Amino acid sequence: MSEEEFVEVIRGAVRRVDLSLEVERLEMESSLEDFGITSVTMMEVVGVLEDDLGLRFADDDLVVLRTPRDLFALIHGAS
Amino acid sequence: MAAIEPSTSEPRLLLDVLETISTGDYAFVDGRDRVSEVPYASLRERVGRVAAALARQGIRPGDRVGLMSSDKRELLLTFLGVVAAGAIPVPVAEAHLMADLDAHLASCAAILRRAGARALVASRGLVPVVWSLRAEVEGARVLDGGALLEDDAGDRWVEAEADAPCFLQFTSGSTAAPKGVVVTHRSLAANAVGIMRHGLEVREGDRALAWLPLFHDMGLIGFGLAPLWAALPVVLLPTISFLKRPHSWMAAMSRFEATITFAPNFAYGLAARRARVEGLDLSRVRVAGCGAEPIAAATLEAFCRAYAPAGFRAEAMMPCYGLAETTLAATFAPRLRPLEVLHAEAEALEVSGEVRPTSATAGARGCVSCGVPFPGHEVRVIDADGRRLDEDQVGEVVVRGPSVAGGYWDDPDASRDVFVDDGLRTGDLGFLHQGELYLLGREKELVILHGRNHHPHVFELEAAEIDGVRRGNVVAFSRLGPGGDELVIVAELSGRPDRDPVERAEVERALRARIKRRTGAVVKDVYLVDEGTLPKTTSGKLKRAEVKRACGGATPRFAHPRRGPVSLGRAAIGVGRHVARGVVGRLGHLIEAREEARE
Repeated sequence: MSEEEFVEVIRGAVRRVDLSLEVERLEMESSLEDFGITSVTMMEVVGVLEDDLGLRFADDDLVVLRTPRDLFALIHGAS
Repeated sequence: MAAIEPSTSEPRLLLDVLETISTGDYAFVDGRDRVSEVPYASLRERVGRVAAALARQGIRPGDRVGLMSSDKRELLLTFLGVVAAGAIPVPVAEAHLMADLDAHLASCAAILRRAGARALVASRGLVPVVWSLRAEVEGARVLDGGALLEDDAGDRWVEAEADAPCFLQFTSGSTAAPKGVVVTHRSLAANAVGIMRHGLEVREGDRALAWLPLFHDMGLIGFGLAPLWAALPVVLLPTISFLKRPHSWMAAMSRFEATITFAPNFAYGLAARRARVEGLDLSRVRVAGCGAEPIAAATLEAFCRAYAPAGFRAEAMMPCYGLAETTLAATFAPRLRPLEVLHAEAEALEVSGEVRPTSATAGARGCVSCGVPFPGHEVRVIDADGRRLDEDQVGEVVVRGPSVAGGYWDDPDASRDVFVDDGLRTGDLGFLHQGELYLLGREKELVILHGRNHHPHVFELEAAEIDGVRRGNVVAFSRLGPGGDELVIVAELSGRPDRDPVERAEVERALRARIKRRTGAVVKDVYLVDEGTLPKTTSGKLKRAEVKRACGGATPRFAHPRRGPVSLGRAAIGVGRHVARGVVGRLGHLIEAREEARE
């Protein structure tokens, strides 16, 4: 999956979790919090991604998720 | 004053319960839905081995031992092992996604320093990360929790005195001054029996289920420890599983045929919005408890509607009240009763502190009953001078009885203010109506976000670091929004009253970013007001309660940041000062009296 495709997947996942969030302009390096994406929303986005991509992230991973790129890195470490 | 009934017999202490328990089990579910069971009957042996392993690592009776793990099996077994070794566990929050690691570790270090911890037991994955804490906490070692559980030689069992500390429950996210509640063996036993026997009336066939974190009292005591007194089987899910898939909570209730669960208000709201009811059977659920946060009737009602098609009965919803200082629970609503919502005239409630029941109209405020105290306990409401108030009068809630904890660890000044001779000054505002407790606001000084307590000062100090914000003229508070508790910041701008929108937007952006970076919290609304507009007491202290009221309710006096001007007119302050003679004055007294006592 290319980075652009990945960002589009993230945008779709965010919209499914919270329709009120405007994420058209979210990019790989954007700050998630600048787009109003809270940690609680982010957790659900991770859940949606796991289900859509058929992945499970390790639960005890200590990951600081500030941008879509952090999430991209997380996925590459998932099983 | 109603007499407290003497308890008929002293409840058994934790280690005594572990020695004789013969039925029931923990079922630990992992992120892939695999279940591993630990029979309660096996705990005596397992826990004795962990205690022996800890002793070999140099842990001595009375030592404080930090615990950090998102693995609930590991956390509970090491917790019990520390207790059996005669030492004192100190659970701390595990790090999680999106957390700012530096801020998180700083807050853990502050807690461990305050506790004087000899060691931190962390799960294997966390050991490399928490290694840096060794330097922050003098003399503390980091131990691998998994290795402690695998170390299977020996047995150690140090019996405890009833009034000795069982564990320390840290209540505040503040790094400046974390406060550790000393839960004694006696208060734990009293509260566990109260919850199991009188609150839940546990019976054959019951099964409890929760995803709550175990570093927090509702998860640790409610679902890790108290069930042992009733041999109540418990299913524990990873906290992150609920956060990733809020619908999975009720799916697990159905799958495991659970009858009892608990969560804070925000979780019921989230689960309601994400409800998936196809194929679920929730007809067995007889207790869905709600506590730890202000309870919004509308949230619980929405949950009941969402899950009614799966057979969820609205009368299972059980609001409760409690705080770490009462070990966990103080009052429970009666079982199997529809939600009791009292509509009171908002104006009378807020201005004169009187409860005038009315119908559910625009000027009414719906208050949810949190029920009655356990036998042997008492709840009363007092005014600012400490005098007992009649029913339907708003004041500070005081709890008395054997569940009241043993004070704050190594903090006699704070303990003296709160743990007074005739009970626990909760700092919470409420009233009694027909013998039942109604809460109006939880600990006015605290900002509660997703069940986690923060001192407002932490946010206020961070906001004051922003260029353009007047130092010492910032108020932070939380309020209940549709999605749960929201953080609001009101800050005075320094200098010119006519800053342009671009400058204001820049201050707001910087403020939000700094608070997020330093505390991990997301600010919902920022109100930037002109210099000199925030109401203060004659001694120059900010009137938080008044500022909070000015930002919301039926008659907001601060304009909403996204809908109107951000400055507050002088006339509005006049109104605020006038109103302050009423309940705000009363609230203010309670808060100021405590602030002054602490200074």
